[in-house]
Amino acid sequence: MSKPEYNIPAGYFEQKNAQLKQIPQQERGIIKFPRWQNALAIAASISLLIAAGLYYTHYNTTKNAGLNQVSASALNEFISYSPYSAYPETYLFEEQSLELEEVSSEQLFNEEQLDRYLNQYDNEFL
Amino acid sequence: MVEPKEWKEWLNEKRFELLFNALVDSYTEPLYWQARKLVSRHDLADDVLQDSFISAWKALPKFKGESNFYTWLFRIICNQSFACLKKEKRYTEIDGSSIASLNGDPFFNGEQALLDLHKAVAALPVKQQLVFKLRYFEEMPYAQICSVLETSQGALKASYHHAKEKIKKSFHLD
Repeated sequence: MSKPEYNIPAGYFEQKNAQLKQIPQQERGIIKFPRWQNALAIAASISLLIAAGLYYTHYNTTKNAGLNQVSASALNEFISYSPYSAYPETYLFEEQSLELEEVSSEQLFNEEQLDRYLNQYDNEFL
Repeated sequence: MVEPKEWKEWLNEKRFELLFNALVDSYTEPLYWQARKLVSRHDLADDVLQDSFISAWKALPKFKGESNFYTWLFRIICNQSFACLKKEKRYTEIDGSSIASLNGDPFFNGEQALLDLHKAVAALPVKQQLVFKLRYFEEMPYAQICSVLETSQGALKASYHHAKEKIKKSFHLD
């Protein structure tokens, strides 16, 4: 039996030679790092993330550190502070209404008492 | 072919690109025909040739120069052809398209009997295909096939014998 005869496209080998000679340039374009460098890069990235997380957590803790030094009783006092507690009389007036009889000023003070009062403190204020 | 002495010098001097270009100029054509005889189709042989030279470029720095460059490249071509045939065999088992495509291959100029032979060979297990093609089509001595496929002579002879018997059976010649 005769051996098979194969044909090829015209100019195939010239074209193929030129194509094969490009292989060194093409392979050079692919940068491959050794495995240990890959592992080092990954470890460095993870370390940076952990450091960033720790810094952020520490920063937030420091910002609010003043509150940790305040005692619970002081905090309670502050929270329960009412502006009316400084002047209990006014607070009382706010909460309770005093019912007073309507009395005229002539009934409260007689003229003689009034004169005596005014003359007594006359020198002090002049 | 007696290889130029400069090639080994370039290898020692690590002038790999210069050496690689020299190998391409000298061996593209004979290596293509080797691949073509093993895989039959032009498109497959083209792929095998490309992949083989890429493998050769990557392995060149590690090549110690114990054999000549052609033997080394020939071994790479056979390995790549083997891998290609295995892949094609998988496709053939699925839809038979690989063998059928020989019918329509414009670069196959064989007569019908040769086409039938190729079909019978393509139906063999891949390693038997390779042994048969190297022994029958290439008329390669068993000793040389041994060094290429890294198998013992006894195993090769047995493989060739089984391949012949199967092909005879497919042609009803048993």
